[in-house]
Amino acid sequence: MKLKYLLFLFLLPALLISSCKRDDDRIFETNATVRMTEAVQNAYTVLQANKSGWMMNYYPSQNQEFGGYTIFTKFISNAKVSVGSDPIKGIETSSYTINSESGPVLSFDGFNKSIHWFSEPGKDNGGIGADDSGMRGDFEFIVLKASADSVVLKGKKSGSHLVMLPLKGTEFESMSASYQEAAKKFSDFEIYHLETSGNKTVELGYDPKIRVFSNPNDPSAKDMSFRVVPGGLEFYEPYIIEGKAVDRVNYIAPTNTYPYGYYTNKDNSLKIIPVPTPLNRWFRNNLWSMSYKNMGALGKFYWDGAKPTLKKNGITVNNVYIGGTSGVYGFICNLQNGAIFGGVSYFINPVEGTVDQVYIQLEGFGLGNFTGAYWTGGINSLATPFNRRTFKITSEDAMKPTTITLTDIGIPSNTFKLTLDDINDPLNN
Amino acid sequence: MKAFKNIGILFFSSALLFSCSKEKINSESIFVDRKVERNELDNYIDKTYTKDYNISILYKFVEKESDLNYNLSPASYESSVRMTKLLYHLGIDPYNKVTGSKDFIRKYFPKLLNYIGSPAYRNNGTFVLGTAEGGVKITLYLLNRLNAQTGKDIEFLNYFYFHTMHHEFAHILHQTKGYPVAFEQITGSKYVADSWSNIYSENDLETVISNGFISPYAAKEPNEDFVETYSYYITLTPEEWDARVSNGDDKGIELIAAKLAIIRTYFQNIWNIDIDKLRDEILARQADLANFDQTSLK
Repeated sequence: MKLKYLLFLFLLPALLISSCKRDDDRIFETNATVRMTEAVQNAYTVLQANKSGWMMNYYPSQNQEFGGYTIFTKFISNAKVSVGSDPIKGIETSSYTINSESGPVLSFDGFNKSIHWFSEPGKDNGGIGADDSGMRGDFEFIVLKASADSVVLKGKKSGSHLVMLPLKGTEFESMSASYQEAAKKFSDFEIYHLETSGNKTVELGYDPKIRVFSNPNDPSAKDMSFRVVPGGLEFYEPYIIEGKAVDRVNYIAPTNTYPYGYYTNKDNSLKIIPVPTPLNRWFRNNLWSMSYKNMGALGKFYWDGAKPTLKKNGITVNNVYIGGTSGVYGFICNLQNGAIFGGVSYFINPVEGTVDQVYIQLEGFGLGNFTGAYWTGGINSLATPFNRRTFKITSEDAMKPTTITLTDIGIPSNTFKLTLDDINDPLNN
Repeated sequence: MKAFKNIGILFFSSALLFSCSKEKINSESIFVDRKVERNELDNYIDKTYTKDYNISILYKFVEKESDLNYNLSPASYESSVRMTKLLYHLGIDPYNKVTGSKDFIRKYFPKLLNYIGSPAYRNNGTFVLGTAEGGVKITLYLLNRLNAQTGKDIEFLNYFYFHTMHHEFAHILHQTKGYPVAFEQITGSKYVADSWSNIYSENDLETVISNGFISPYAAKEPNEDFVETYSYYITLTPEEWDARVSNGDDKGIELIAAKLAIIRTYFQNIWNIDIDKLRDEILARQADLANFDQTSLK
């Protein structure tokens, strides 16, 4: 018994002393909230400290499937930021905040097309990516590190890592302008050819809305994601093209052989050549307005026949188009003062071996909220002069014309003058 | 033996006294309010909404207040300014005028307004116009479509914003004090729950009205019917209302008139609001919209 108490007495002080020693094994000096406040404050300070602004390379989706862009930011106060990016013209100022969440989070919380274009739903960004998720970019970024030489960000939704690098002097203005100019020049063309040794040429897979090439001759079928920079293109990572690793191609000014110039790698082993869009593909990829006064005798004959039928069925025709958008081709109408927009799908096929001939034929799927009642109610007659016909396309402008003329190869009186501008009340204009 | 026990207790109690000497509580809070530059809109909201009505407006995007099921864009500053001004002019002030004081809005209007720039697109391309949560928060979408041109287009404003706002506000009112059961019985067997969008369409108003509903969504359930009928009534001119209703057959028109009669009595008796006066007030402001300054925050 005595021994037990003695033991207890000796042990007690030791236990009591060690029990209150938790201070020693703290990993951080201060508690989490204080550190968070400091991290947020630090991010604010660092971002605003560089008065010249920052730039970052930005691949909005983690898989780079929409290509890359360059974003310029200048944090002009603790609430306002100016943003420029190469695909969107100009610079806009909007709001930002650095929130404390699972880390300091830089949130561009006021709308600014230059940054929100990458995160907008496809419906709002011009049809890139899915209707609801668009390019899957971010406008909220976890600040992983903020120091004067770089700010490392992680996209909150995409998880992509980005690095903001400091700019100097007036680079924010001058570089954003030169990147936008380069992007504009690049987007003038919608077709790019790849020429490799022995003058072998192949058309690269390319959707003008995004910045990804695919090489049909590449057995790995790996998409090549790139950014447009002044003087060339920079690839996301070195890609193997015809056995060569290529991470950048430089723009070479036009020559006789290459009237629009070309892009080439360091040792000139390959060329990426811009090619003007052939008229028949330009026609197919745009929606063209038509109207009664702009068509030949055959068209007028059918439209005259349709007018009373449409009137009888209470159909108001506001606009009529032919062509395509986002890979859907057809005869499209705006009816009932905007309540109905849609039409019927058509095959619009460029005639092989030509640049200016197109074959048009009814396919028959409904598009938009257009219903069969409108089709049989008179719209079908408006479309009749196009069905199962081959047209030759002519235009005064060689590149991306806004007005074209279709002339039926079989029936020369069947002509249509079409324009990219809307023509209202086409039955009477 | 006893002495040992006593010594033990003494040691123990003294040790307890000294153990864990507490650190002093730091008088500085760890939650530091940041000083953020305020702009004209912040001041305007403070003055017009927060001070008088205890209403807060989130015009800058706050993720945790947003619907995480959608990819959303923030509202632009310009459209936020327009909405903040229009909402007061067309949404809040008419109630003040009709009830004669700011109390009604202060008591019942949701306390949090959340602006979102984009629509909430579903993956089939359709989208949500607005939502209300528990009577405290209204989220308005598509703010970025609001500009100098659409800001004067009353049909646009009603369709995208104000119809939604009155709709959600009416939900709060009937949830606070219920409407007569007789309302539910007028078209009691015709409510179709979630299949309303499959059965009815805005493009076929004849069927909608003939069945006694003012809009396809009204066919969902009595509560939606109640607020839809109310919201359409107070935002449409008498001519527009008549034109809309006349799409249906006589039976349907009668059913809608019966519903409207209950709504009219309910608002008069319960809230002391004459909905015809309210409508006149809203319509007068709509008609004069061209002269309303949507951008000045002075």
